[in-house]
Amino acid sequence: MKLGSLLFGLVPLAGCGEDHFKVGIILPMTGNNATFGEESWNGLQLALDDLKAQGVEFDLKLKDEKSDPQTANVQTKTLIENEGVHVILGSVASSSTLLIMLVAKEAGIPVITPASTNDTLTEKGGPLASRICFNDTFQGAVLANFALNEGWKRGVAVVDQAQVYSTGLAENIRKVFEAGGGTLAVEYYSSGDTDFANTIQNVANQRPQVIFFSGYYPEGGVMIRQAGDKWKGVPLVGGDGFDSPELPKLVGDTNAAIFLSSHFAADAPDPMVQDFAKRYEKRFGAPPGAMAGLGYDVLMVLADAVKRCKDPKDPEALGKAIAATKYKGITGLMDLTTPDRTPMKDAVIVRVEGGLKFHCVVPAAK
Amino acid sequence: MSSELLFWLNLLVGVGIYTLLAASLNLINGSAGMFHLGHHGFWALGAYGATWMTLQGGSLSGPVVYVSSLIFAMAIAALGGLSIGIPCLRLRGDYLAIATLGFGEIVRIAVQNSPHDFLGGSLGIQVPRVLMKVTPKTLVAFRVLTLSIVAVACAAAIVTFRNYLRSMPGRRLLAVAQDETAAGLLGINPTRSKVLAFVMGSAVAGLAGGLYAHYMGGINPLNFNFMEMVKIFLIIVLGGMGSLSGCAVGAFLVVATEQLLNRAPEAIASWWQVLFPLILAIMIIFRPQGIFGRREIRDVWRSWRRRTA
Amino acid sequence: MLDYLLNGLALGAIFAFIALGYTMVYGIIKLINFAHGEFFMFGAFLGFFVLRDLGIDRLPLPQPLPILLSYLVALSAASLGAGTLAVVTERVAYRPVRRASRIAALITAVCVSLILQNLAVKAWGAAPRAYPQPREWTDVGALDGTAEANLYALTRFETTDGTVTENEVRVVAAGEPIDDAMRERLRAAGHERVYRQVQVGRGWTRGFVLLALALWAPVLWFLVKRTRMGKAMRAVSGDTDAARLMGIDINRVIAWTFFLGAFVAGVGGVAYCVSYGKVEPLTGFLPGMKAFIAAVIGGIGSIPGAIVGGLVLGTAESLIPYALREGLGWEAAFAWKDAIAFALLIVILVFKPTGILGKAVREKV
Repeated sequence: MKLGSLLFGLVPLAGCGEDHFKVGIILPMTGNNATFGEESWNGLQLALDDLKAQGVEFDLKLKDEKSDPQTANVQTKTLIENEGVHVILGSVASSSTLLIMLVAKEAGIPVITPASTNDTLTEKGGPLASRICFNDTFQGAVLANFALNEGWKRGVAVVDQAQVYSTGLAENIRKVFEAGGGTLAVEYYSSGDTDFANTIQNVANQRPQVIFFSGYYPEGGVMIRQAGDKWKGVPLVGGDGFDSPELPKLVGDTNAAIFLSSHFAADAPDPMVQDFAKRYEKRFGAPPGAMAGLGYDVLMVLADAVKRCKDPKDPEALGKAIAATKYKGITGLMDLTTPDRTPMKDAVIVRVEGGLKFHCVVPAAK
Repeated sequence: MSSELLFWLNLLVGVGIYTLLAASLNLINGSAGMFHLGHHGFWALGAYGATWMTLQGGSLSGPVVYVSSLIFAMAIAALGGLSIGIPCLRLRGDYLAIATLGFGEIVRIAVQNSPHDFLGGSLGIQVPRVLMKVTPKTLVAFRVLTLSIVAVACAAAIVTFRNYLRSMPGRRLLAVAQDETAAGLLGINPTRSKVLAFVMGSAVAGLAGGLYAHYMGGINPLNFNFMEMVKIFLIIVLGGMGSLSGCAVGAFLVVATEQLLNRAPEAIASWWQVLFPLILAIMIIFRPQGIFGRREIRDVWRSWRRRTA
Repeated sequence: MLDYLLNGLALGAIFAFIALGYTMVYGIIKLINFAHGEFFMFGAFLGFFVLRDLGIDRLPLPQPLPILLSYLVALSAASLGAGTLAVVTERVAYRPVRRASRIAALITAVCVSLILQNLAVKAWGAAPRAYPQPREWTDVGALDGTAEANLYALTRFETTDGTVTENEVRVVAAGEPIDDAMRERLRAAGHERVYRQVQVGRGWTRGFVLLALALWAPVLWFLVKRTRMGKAMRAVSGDTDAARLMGIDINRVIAWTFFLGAFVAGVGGVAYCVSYGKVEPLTGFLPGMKAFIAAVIGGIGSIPGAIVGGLVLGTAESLIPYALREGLGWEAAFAWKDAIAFALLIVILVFKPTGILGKAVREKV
């Protein structure tokens, strides 16, 4: 063991000696969900600078989870044990966030996820786990009601069975859709698939009035493109997993109307949003997607909690402060005093037309 | 420093588990000469078997559930070994490799597609902590406990394999591996030897799976992918395909390198994925016998002493 | 049912392209080249960069030449690039293990595959990218008559949305309606008709794959059966030592085989990505594995076997789940298609290891 330490002591032993407040960030910077990670990180950086201007500094340690839950698991352990972070922000895909929260729970470190919407997360993650976005119970209802209001009653849900986000959201859509008199059939695929010909055919055979997508944009976008006119212009409704600037590119030309629910739309009429959108576009050269807005807000929420907390390095105290948050950010009001530390927020419906365009607001469940 | 200790404990547990996997693969590949690329399937079977058993545990006491889940894991994995070993007996070399690879992938796909309420399917499943409660304060104790259990398991496995290889059935296996037809002429039943090797190897891999599941607290079918298989292969090639001590040394080298690189900045760490197959390729081209060849540490020690005496 | 069959055949044709490379290499040096999937992926990426960055489809030539030319260059780049990579790989990684044990050779192949995959990840990132689809201009109508949005105006030269090429005056951006003011400007600039760029139909891309296969199969057959190099390849595959004694340059023959196999895989790579719309460094892994299964099913070492195996596997992947679903009511049958492919492999290996068209080889004691 001594020899080992000598040899490998060349590798810097982080976290030894200094004990200032450190924030761990885990995001999918590469891999399937890369755009989510990049946008979130951009939002975080903008927030970091804004906070610096107010005199608040944070030491952010970013780890890439490569859109793989197993990597997220390992990186969480690395952040907690090697880097000694006191709180973790991340990740985006619920499959990864679940593992992050479980590891952090055993280590007693608070976690705030900016964008993971699966219902069971904060429950499984324990009292130190929270999120600043709405959850899928709400999102499912938003999507189902949107379809029902448009008069679409016969639907098919296309579900990614390898992702807990997808199956959870689909279940929530089904509950509300069927309660509202709709019928929902389900088709499955797996993330990483490329050949969707048969799924597409199965969906077409059902002759639906609306197609729900509860998965992520890399497969959804490609599937829509591969479908061509097999689906004869049936409207497509996706969840926030679709919110990515890559989606319109992947989809290509299509006659179908594509809608998705999300946390934030850069061209929404709210002045706070407009201001943020302008500054983001100036710095990063493109309008912000939902992930950017959430990335910005999560750091602001953390800053707000740290301000209220006497000793942020004490995980229990920090956790309590986070759970008492009531903060209005650019993605809306984040009130984490709810029993499952999940805020009730408005959703926006976005349509895909050339790019992502704001369609309407769906107010939070009361 | 507490987190440094945690890191090394984690590393050593990893070394232990991979030693078990390497030793069991060694039995099938090195000693029995069967080219097997599906070991990750047995590992997965063991992990999921142990998980299922643990979930049935209910109100039984912790250690009882723990031990019975490990036994169940070994049984399930052994069954897997039986079911793939028997049909593939007639296959040689490349064909056996591909068939076993297919088996490993089928296991993974099967778990990934299984209904979410059965074994978690693609979402993974949590393994309840039955030995002790794991909290920030008890984390070190938990790792030390697991490490002791894993160490005992490794020692038991290595001793068992070593004694087996020295016994009559073991010698029969080595004979079959050398030349199956000749062995047959000597009255040895090659089928029985090979199947036995497969079953023993898969059972130990299953044990590793059970220990892994309990240690990680949660498993996911993606944990048992083909890259892991290649990693285990690297370990036995590095250590020497007939050497048990080689497995332990190889496991330490590979796991330690991987974990330490993980602490390095991203730019360096990401080269590991290119590096380790490169190392394996170089080893197999220039030094296929690995570090120890077919010898054990004792032999190396003795010959070194003789030279310097 | 017909749709599923057609899906299966198109997929099968792609498997066949890749399987050809496996089977040719195996026939000659008895090595399962695990890295073959990566040659396929490399070809696909080369094609991607040609299609996306060279801008051949924007050349001022009469339609539909620019698009056809663009794809032709992409295919050539892909196949030549993949072939070159194969030859280099053979020289660097496989020649040293030619005399080693089978295990060593196979492990080396697996390692090469992993190294290439991860080098690709380092070079190009792991995120999937949208693959340029063939598009064509369709005439929407006279300028005076149309008011639709989402249109592109044409001069005598091709243009794309938003960019300004040398001779073009003004392009209607996507989403902009053609109102009267716009119409005036366009008329003044000499535009008379309005065009729209649409994706080529699925039928065409499907047909392209099958057509390519139909063209390449006889070419390969001719190369193997009628040329001197082909004869040399068959000689080496039959009895390497005898071939060497007859003065055949083994190294050259092997290099050629690798080149040819990867050349065809490169074509398959572009076809695959065009069909499915995306490319990423891991693209080669699963199709590579499936194509290998196809080669085994058809009889490894046999060129017609590779084609038959590919088509059989492709159709089986489509029709077996379909049958399971319709017949047994198993809803999730399609999710198991990968497992079905592997299971098929094991069945063939156990019951007829030489494959459908393979010849039984007596094992010399």
